Amino acid sequence: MARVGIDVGSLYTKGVLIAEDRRLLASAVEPTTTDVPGLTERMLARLLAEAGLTMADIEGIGATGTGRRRVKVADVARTEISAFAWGAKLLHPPVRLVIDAGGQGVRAIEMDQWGMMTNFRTNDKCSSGTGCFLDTMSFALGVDMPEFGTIGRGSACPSSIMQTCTVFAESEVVSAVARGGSKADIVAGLNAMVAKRMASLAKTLAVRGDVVFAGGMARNRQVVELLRSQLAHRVVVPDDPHLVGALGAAVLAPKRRRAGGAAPEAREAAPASPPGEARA
Amino acid sequence: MTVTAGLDLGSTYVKCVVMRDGQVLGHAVLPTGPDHDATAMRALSKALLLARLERAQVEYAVSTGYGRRVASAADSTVSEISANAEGTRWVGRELGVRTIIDIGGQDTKVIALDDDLQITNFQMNDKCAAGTGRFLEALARVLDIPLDELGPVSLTSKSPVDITTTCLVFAKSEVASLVTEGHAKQDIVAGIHRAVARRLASMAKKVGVREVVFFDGGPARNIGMRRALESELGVRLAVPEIPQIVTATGAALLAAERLRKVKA
Repeated sequence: MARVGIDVGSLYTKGVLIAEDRRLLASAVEPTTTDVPGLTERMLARLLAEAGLTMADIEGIGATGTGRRRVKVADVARTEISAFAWGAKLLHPPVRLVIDAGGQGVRAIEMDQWGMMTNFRTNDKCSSGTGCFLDTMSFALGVDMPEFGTIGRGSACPSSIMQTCTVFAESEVVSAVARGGSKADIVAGLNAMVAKRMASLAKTLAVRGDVVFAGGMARNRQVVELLRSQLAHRVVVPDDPHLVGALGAAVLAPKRRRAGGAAPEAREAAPASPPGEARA
Repeated sequence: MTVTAGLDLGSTYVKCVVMRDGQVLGHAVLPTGPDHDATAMRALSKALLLARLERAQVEYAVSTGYGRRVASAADSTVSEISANAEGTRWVGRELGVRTIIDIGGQDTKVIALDDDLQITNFQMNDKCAAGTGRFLEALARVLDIPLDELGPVSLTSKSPVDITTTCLVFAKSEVASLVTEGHAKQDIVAGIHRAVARRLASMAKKVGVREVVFFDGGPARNIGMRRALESELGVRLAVPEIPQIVTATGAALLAAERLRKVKA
């Protein structure tokens, strides 16, 4: 029996369909819209079509991410912390720390040698150093996101970005460009700032072994290199770092669906979760 | 007869005040362009025009604010905190001010004064856009409401919406979704004022709030912002006639003081 995991992030919604042996059978990524129920329902249909399966083959559907409670097709909604911990463990069993850098927040999750979560830190109050920070800068610089991880790598002297705040740093970047600053140096400076913020969040926890770097930010190669230089342990980046949360949600989906679709107690339990759950 | 000028080169506006013998003769407020110094020059010319004075008659000029070091018209510089306190001592001379709250374009300040009106403590936020003038400006744009109308619009709200995010970047998305969810604009605006007021109140509590509380800076012109801050602090606020030029006035007064020292 296969399982589905859906991660409704602030910027993108990611979906995966995994087999009984946890092999990835299908995946999908769409920008998150205001209509989360509709978006995730269509995504589920797409995943099934891609894998050549029907709903009868699915034993459970798990949801995570900021919009997890609005996924009507899901049997259960789990916090990003649990989903990322389980997703990382599935991809790299010796993991001891997970860093997830998404669109609107950065999380670090500390795990013991059995893969149980022992502590975590999140920054979801401030956009500095998040995906949306780099999105803003990408727009201000006219450098596309996929290029952000490459054009700065040749920079001999990365710009030092004085402002931390996304709003103020954007003005700083705009005036640096107006003064004729090199885009490669500015991008390198921004990537260094992002990596430094992540490393310092991780260092507030006990880093005792392999680090799995997940979330969309892990696709930025320069940020990965800079993070590696700042952490003493091995930093593993999965092939599809943005799918880790969705994979974890699939792993955490209930084993057996009740007849007639969604498990009723799970559906009721999800919206009743305390509002602080994401941070708890 | 002594003519001095104070230039406050803020992140969003450049303010200039021309004074003669302790009297404001002219002032100007201009949006900060790409060239800070050129804007300061234009502000000075405009203030001089209103004062019916010539550039050569200005004996001493002091600059302050974020761009104070680039003002070529200035003879010396002073920090915003000192200039704001000096301006408040003069503008609010009959009020007995003990706390100053100043919202700027990219920063916020709370200054505590003792009974001799000397600075005893202050808090400044220039690291984060939350709670600054920039915050109000950006969210007004999301709502498509002119900045000057935020105050009057918010006064018609009966139940302000709770803005749950702190970061301006997140607040922009939050406000946009509040609009699509169908919340009334006046309730959103009132919620924005309350969010800014809460941030300022927590800063103010760190330095200690003693009455009289003086509120200056551009956003002090916003009646909704004033009411929200009054309700968060539980005190009445004293707002000057032209809240934007208090710091520039302080710089002009300090210019007169420095001129006396130079002459002596």
